[in-house]
Amino acid sequence: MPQAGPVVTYSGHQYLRQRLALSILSGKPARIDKIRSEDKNPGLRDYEVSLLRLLEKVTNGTSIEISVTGTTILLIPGIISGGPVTHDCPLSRSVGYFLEPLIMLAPFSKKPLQLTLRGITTDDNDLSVDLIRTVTLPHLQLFGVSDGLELRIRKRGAPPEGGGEIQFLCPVVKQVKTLNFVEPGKIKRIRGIAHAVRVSPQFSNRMIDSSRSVLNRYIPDIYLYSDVYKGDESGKSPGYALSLLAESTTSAIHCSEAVSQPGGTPEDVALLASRALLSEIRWGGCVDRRHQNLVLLMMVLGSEDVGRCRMAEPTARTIQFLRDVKSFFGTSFKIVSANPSDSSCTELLYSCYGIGYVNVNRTLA
Amino acid sequence: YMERNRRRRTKDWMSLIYSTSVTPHQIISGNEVDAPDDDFTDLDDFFRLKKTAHSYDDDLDMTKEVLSPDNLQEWEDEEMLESLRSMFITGYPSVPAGEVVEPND
Repeated sequence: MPQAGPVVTYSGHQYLRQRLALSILSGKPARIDKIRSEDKNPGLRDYEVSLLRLLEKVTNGTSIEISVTGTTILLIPGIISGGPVTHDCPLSRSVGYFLEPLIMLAPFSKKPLQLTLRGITTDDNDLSVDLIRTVTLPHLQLFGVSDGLELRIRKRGAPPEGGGEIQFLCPVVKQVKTLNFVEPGKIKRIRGIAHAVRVSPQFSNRMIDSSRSVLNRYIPDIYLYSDVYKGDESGKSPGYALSLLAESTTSAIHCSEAVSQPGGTPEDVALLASRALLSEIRWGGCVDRRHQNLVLLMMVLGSEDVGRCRMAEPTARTIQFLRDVKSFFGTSFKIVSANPSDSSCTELLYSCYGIGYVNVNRTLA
Repeated sequence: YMERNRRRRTKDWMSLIYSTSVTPHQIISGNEVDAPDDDFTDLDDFFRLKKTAHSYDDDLDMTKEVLSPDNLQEWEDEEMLESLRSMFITGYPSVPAGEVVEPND
């Protein structure tokens, strides 16, 4: 097998998704070993194998070697081809798990990606399709990926049986714009989506009422939408969830979400989501904490200019992501306090010089 | 209280991230900040490595953080709720308006 350039090597199953995405974007092969090698059940999980298969589908010429025990993989990336792709996600993870790395890749594919995913649409671990639609996609639009960017929720699917279906449409760009986002602004509106499938539709309204009791004190512009899915569109399992987002005067978005627990009440879910939103707002910055990685990645790939963004402190994922970005692209960020004169300021200013990543696949088309 | 703890210490994020091998979780929790480089003289290090490897077994690659109702209890406090008002357009800025504008550096 021809080896293109140096292989970036990692150990452990953690942060697998971001490393695979970075490998494909940078074109550098990645070897990941010791994947749960000390576990009673060693090797890749079904959803990780499924993700690798999905990456094979959206790329062309990608070679993925998995060792017999499943504890080592070698990814030699090909080009991102895009086009229509359909994938059935295993029920161990929600579609968000698969969608998040693909959102990083999709703008740089050869043909616009039309991705259909089936499985669980909302769960506790990954961003739900609602948050991806209302929060992740606007974050992508900051970088000039906008025309034709869409996420359609055809069917919802709650865990454990799933049965949901979504379609993600992403346009192709030549290059992403440089970001300069340092003014967080003030929060001017709160939006939310409450959905309840295979349970009483009244649950949505109970969540909305309960959430309003917490949030109404701040601003009047609160609109919480009760999203109704019926019959076949509501998946195979009962469940309900509330996702909330707060938008500022400068279009900075912060979000939160809570999902139904067995034995819990809609009021519990709503309180959890509302309070988590307040915590998120307190973190400050221009970018939601769960979207730090996406924004930082696009800043690195941006045109050859200095991109700047004000954000909260990095999460553990972000710290590892910054290190991984350095090993794949050689780019490190300058991270300084957003307000050096105020020692209590926890917000940070991230800046980097974009590498001017050009979508070469597109010019071939 | 976690917030207070964070505010007390200003971290040098760049050197923590790029020039040390401290795990991300240690950086967040603020442990091991005093010993940026692997401390080989510390015998406990040996056991700790094993322990962390073990605790990561059930650590999923997940984007959302686990919401803990206990940590969010702080929002039952009226003062806490009011303290956030300055983040909204309806609230008055808690600092003089001149300071809100970021200096361009």
